Amino acid sequence: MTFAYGQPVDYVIVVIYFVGILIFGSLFGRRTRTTADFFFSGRRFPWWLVAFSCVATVVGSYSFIKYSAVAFSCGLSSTMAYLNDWFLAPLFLLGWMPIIYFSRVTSIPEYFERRFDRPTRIMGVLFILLYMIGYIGINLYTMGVAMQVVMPRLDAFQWAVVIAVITAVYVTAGGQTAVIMTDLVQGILLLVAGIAVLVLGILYIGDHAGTGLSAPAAFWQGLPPAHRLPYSGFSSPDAFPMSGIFWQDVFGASMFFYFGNQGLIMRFLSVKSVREGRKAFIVVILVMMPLAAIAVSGAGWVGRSMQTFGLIPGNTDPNAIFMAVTAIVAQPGVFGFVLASLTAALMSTVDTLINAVAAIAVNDVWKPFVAPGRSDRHYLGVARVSSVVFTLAGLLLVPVFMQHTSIYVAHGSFTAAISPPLIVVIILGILWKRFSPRAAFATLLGGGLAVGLSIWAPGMIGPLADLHGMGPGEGTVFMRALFGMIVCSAIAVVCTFVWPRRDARSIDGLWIGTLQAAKRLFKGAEPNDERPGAKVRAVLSMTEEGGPAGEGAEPVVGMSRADAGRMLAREGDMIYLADRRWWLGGLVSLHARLRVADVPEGTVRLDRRRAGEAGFKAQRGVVVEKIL
Amino acid sequence: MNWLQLAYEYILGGLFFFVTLRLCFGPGAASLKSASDRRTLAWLLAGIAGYFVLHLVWIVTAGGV
Repeated sequence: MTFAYGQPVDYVIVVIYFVGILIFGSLFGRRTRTTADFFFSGRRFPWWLVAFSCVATVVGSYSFIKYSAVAFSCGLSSTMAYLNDWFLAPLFLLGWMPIIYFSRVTSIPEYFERRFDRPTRIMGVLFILLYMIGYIGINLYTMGVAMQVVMPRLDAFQWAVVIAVITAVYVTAGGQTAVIMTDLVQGILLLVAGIAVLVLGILYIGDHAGTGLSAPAAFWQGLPPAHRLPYSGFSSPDAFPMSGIFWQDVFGASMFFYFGNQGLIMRFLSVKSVREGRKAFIVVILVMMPLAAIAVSGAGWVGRSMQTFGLIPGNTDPNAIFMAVTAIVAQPGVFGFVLASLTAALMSTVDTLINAVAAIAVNDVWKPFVAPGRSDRHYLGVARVSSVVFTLAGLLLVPVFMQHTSIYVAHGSFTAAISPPLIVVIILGILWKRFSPRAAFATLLGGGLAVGLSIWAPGMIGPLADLHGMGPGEGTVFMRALFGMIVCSAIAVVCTFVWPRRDARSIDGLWIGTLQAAKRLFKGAEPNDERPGAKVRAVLSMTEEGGPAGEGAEPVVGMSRADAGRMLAREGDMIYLADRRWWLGGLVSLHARLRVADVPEGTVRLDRRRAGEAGFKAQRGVVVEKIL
Repeated sequence: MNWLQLAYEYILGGLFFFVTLRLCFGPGAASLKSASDRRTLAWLLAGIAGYFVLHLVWIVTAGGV
């Protein structure tokens, strides 16, 4: 059976969407004048903006194809990989995020140099570039596969080329602010589109199954009993065993995603405070990820139920189920909307990756090693060129991924192979003061070699696969993350005892036992965060008095003693001013130091130049809150 | 039947969760004196309990008993 994919109106919708998002992104791209704008866009954004952009980054174009295929074959257990990230939450919320935020690092390799040494940083750069370029390639490939099904005049690689060119242009024109703002739109779009396909599919089954049941009841009845459960078999099926997914996803993909993905790090470095970053993460894991799991799996569940009632052929290819179900249940126009969401999923993942990989190329390679001491304009140019170069590098990997038998295995095996050494070094770096620079380097090098060797000689992982009742084929792929964690941890522990640790004072603020020190270093004074205080609404009054000059100098804001008291803030505390219009998402905002001054209550006094740079206008209503 | 999977995930995952939680509240790290850290701790515990109850109810509802 063949499916008719889309009408002209659908393709018009996709083109309109694409042009719209380019224009929208370009509006924010006009703010990109420096590398700081291009990569980090200031620490200004609220939790909701970061939460949506995180989801848009998590859900790639491959997600709809991959998880719909899994959902079609395995049922509701396709949600496993989206519902098991909470185990990582303590370390991320109370350890990793505060450490990178307060230490003001801009990348994981930079953290490696400050926590360990320069050789470890170089190794980190190699690992992260490999991971991210591969991830770009996977997204381009899977989008090519999806588009090939819809419009088969071009094959998957040719579609990947087309998409890569378009995406590179968009990312190079934008910057981190444009990426986050467009991701907000794209995150909403892909969640709405995915859930819409599920709802339309359930209604379709209700109308066509002929069971006499309500639509939800008919849909449920169409799912085999084993497909209604939250987990697949412990060691089966070969392509999606629960124990394998647990190790591969939680301690492979997810851990690396939250702790080792430069794009995610940059997201959480863009929030206005650690408190706001924690809110974002909590919302992502408790609300957004379950919604995303439903959005990316829904078509597969519907497809399986439809198959039970003979509404779809029994021999339908699982990898084509998303497009097949969408083509059946969506009216012309709605199908175009879903296609746009696929494009959104791709763009919102790849733009983040390209921006992040360019950040590492410039901040961790070009600036320290190739051309130090050049102007920021020079580095911005390098950043733009890097965006194009790394998109092309990802594109060259597409033919490699085309050789794999399934998209899921391709993605999983790649991530599982390179992530364990980095994860172990990051986690031990956070938690273990004794963990020494040479041990970290040895863990990256030795662990990377061991995991690489296990791809060539998978028998090394055989005992772990056997222990979990899995066969020597897929079982070794799923257990590679666990194997890597064990080997890397062993190397790390042994080498730490062999080689002495660094002077403990030199790593203040970089491991968990010095978090309070990190806050002091960040603020330059004793932190004041035990009680948060109230947010104060005020009117902005501009002065010509000037203020601290020079790069990185924070402006000083004058407020009345009463307003400072309501915020529970003291002279010199770090505060944050934002335009009262919350929906601007912090675009008009700045961080400043509090000065208790002789100004009327409800008034904030700020130097005109600094206010203008942040986008404030005189007499504009602002909201002020204490940060630290 | 999903009970083995549930136990496997929450015993191993829970071990990692609670060990790292404990380490994050050690000397010099997060502190219960901080309102933000207290609130985060409450969310962390509510989150893992919520996910566990979700999976438990799901298995029972889906007929896995």
